[in-house]
Amino acid sequence: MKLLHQPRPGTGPSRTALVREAQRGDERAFRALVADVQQRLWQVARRLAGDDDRAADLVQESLMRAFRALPRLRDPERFMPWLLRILNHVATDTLGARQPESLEDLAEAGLEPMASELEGPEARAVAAGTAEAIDRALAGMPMIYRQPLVLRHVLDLTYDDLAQILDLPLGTVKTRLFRGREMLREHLLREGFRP
Amino acid sequence: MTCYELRLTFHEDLGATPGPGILEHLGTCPLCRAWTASLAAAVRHLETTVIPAMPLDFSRSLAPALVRERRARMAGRWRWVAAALVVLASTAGGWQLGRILLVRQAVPGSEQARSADILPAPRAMPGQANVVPASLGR
Repeated sequence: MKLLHQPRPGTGPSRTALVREAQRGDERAFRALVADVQQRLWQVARRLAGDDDRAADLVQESLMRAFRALPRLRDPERFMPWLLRILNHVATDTLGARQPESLEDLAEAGLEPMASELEGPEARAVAAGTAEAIDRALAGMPMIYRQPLVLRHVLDLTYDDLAQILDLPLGTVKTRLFRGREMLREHLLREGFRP
Repeated sequence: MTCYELRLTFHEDLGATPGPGILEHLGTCPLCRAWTASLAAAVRHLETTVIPAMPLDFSRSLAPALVRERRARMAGRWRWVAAALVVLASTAGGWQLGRILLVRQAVPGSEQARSADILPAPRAMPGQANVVPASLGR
């Protein structure tokens, strides 16, 4: 779980020390902890939610729930997996209830070249198109497949990490990843992305 | 290796260099070649497509908003404690007052009894008969 436990860059206190101080009610530690985790949390939330507004709601609600429950966190070293678990619960509560948009409805006609084949503004436009296609593909799949896919391929977590965070058996995690990748692949093909 | 086995193995070891079994199968199966290429590309898109940055105003306001919420929650908690203490004190005071009143009601003439304790009992004057009222003498 390399990304989840890596120390904060610089000479400041470690994340674990910050968690302990925040648990004792230290507001400065609390602010430092927010600054430390917010970018990573945003990356996952933005991919899960598909737009900035919902991602911001997800991040804020997750951090609020986390800091309310912080005094009850027994192992401060497990703060990041614990926080990601909360984020996934919030995502399931708030986004999971929404009916996924149909992949067929979202698919657009025409072929899109890969950004690497182009340069300059054209490449940027294609990259933006790819990002939107990824968002649409993720929005079209149920949350149970979206969560492992995002955690695995955005945060580079191991299967064991996923099993812990999602509270699932290892086999289920692998199956859901398999299905999620298949959905993503099929959606991108339908939108005209070619390998 | 069958197509199904190849797909399972490819998923499991995604990102790793394909083993000889996979390469051998891909050399003879155009369907699996197309499948592995499209899957690898889809995953590469997911991993490399830039995620929009966190809006600056949200990033700046997040920690202060959380601190405000935390303070409000703590203040709310103290208000509950204060309210509970007021209720407790009122209950205790009311109970004590009620007890005093009950004691007074339970001993009629307790005021007279108290003054009798304080004032000396009247003595009969020399030569004066100790007359018992007729109503009590019967």
